[in-house]
Amino acid sequence: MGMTDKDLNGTALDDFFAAARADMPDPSGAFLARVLAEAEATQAGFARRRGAAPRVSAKGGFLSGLSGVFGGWAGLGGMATATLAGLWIGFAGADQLSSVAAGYMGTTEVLGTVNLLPDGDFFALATE
Amino acid sequence: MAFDAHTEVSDETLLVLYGNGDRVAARSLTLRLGPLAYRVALRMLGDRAEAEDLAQEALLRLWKIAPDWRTGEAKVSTWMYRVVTNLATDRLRRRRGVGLDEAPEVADGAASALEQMIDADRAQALQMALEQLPARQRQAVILRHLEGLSNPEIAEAMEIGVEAVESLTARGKRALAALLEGKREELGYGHD
Repeated sequence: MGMTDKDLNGTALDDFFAAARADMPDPSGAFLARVLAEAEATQAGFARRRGAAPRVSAKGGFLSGLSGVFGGWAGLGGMATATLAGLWIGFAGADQLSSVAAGYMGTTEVLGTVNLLPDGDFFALATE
Repeated sequence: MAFDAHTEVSDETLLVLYGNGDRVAARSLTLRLGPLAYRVALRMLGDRAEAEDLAQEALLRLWKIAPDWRTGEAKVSTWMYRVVTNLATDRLRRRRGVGLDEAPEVADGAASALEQMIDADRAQALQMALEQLPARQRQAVILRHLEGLSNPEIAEAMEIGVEAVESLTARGKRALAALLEGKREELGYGHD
């Protein structure tokens, strides 16, 4: 087999690349869960090294701004829980969502409820 | 809520936040870089279980260096591409006992491997052909044509010059063309 560019030219090869790009493999949910578990375990080590509990943000900025919007650290805790729930839903599939809804809502209640809509606005939305 | 709550935040900022103890950043980085690491590892190795193992190892390295990450020196994604492809290259060398670049451009046994994929689609055909390439050519072609990196970005990830990237990519594409040529009619590329 020699030089075959003129037979299977660049355009044809590009079609193979395009097919491969369109067929990008997704990692399993179990893999992402393992990676996240290692991330959190490693992060816990940082906190121990500093001799302090993990902080949500050391430098303020992005997250401290969010903190103000969402009602302090309890609100951010709820947000983190919501992100984790989203991650889990992504892993497990939406069909299993109902089975965890009760537990998830219970957790949110413990961490504090974030009311994004004043009652009047909610009523307006509900009656539309 | 979107799975990645930090959509507008750079990888580097997330890594700093992670190093400072931000738990949401850990999730965002996992969701951004986990798929990237796995995808590249799978392209390099062709085995899902091994790719997950390698990607997990690469990400663990990232977690560990996070507190010491020096901002402004390299993109996190470039660093990840480098670590994943280097780890994969090491595994390929151990697996096959071949050097980085000394293997023939079309490896022995390629024809028989191609015989097994008559019914495979083009993506599978390309993956099988990629696995016939020498590691460094494979690395350059994956980063250029599947990940869409620029030649300077690949040069940084592979720690070589831009000219060397161009050479590896060109040789890799010639070899791929040679490998795929033998089966082009079955794959829909017959002569008009």
